[in-house]
Amino acid sequence: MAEAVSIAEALDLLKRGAGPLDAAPTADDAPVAKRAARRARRGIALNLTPMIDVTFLLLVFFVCTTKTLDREELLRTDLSQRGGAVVNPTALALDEPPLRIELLRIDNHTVIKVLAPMSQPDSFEQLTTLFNSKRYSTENPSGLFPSDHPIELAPAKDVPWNDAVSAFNGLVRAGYQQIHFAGPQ
Amino acid sequence: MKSVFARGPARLEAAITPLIDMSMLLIVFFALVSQIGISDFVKMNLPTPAPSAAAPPRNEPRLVMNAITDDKGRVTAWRFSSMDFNCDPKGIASLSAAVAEAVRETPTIEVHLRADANVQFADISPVLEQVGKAATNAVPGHPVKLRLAVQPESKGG
Repeated sequence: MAEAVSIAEALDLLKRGAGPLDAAPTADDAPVAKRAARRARRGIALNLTPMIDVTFLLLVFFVCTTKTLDREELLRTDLSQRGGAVVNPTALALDEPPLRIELLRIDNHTVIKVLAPMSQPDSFEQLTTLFNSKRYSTENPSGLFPSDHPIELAPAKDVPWNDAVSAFNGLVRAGYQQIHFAGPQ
Repeated sequence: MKSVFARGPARLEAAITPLIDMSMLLIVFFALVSQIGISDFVKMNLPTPAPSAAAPPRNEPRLVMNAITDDKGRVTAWRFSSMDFNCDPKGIASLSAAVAEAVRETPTIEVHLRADANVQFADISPVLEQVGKAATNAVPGHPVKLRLAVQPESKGG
């Protein structure tokens, strides 16, 4: 029994890095024992540094990527409900004739031409204001067109996509819901 | 008994296993994300209508058509689902068929159109026309949701 106790004690000392009972400490054993004792004091440690490094890298990456994707926004279109972007008068029976707005390119400048007896807007902002004033509603009973009146936006071939989208955007802001692109003249 | 506790010089060992694990994870992650980014979001100057009536994208399934331009600002190809289609009648017909097929599989999917602000409307019009018709005919009675990608001026840079 005593032998078992002494073995257990010896094992305990071994775990702690100390020398055996019967071994007299020598000068060579001293640094080893110190190192073992230091290690025993520290216990089991998790190395967190690389984990934190990687976590921050991922965080930065996600932040950058998310910011890039969030910049874009979307304009809803009504193209398909009219059978495509170009209205084919022989194939479609519209309840009301669409109001046609042409975008022309003159001297490197886009000109808005509304094919209706009304004042012509000089800018996309004016287009919004004009068509907002012409939109029929309970607040504006003198308006000419209901909000679901079809509008055909027909940019010329050389009109930049930015201006075509700006005109489309202006009409959406004016409260119209059925705007579609027509092919270039 | 001294030899029982005698140790050699301390060995410094780097823990390679977690390093490899993380490296592989990062490689897979970056590969996937970069592929999505390249195929869906080609770098370009989107139109900037101001003030914009556009809305932020919703978390819905989407398809993205990108107009690829050359140095002169002319559309040379259309990129859709990591595939490039020529900007000629044959290429646009193939693009329309591809979009129609995708819409047939998922009728509620949104189709996003991304084109540079300086591209001429003549390059966009055939795609609008043919893709719109093909996608609409793909699922009768279920209009395709076409969206125009813009960049809000306030957030532009």
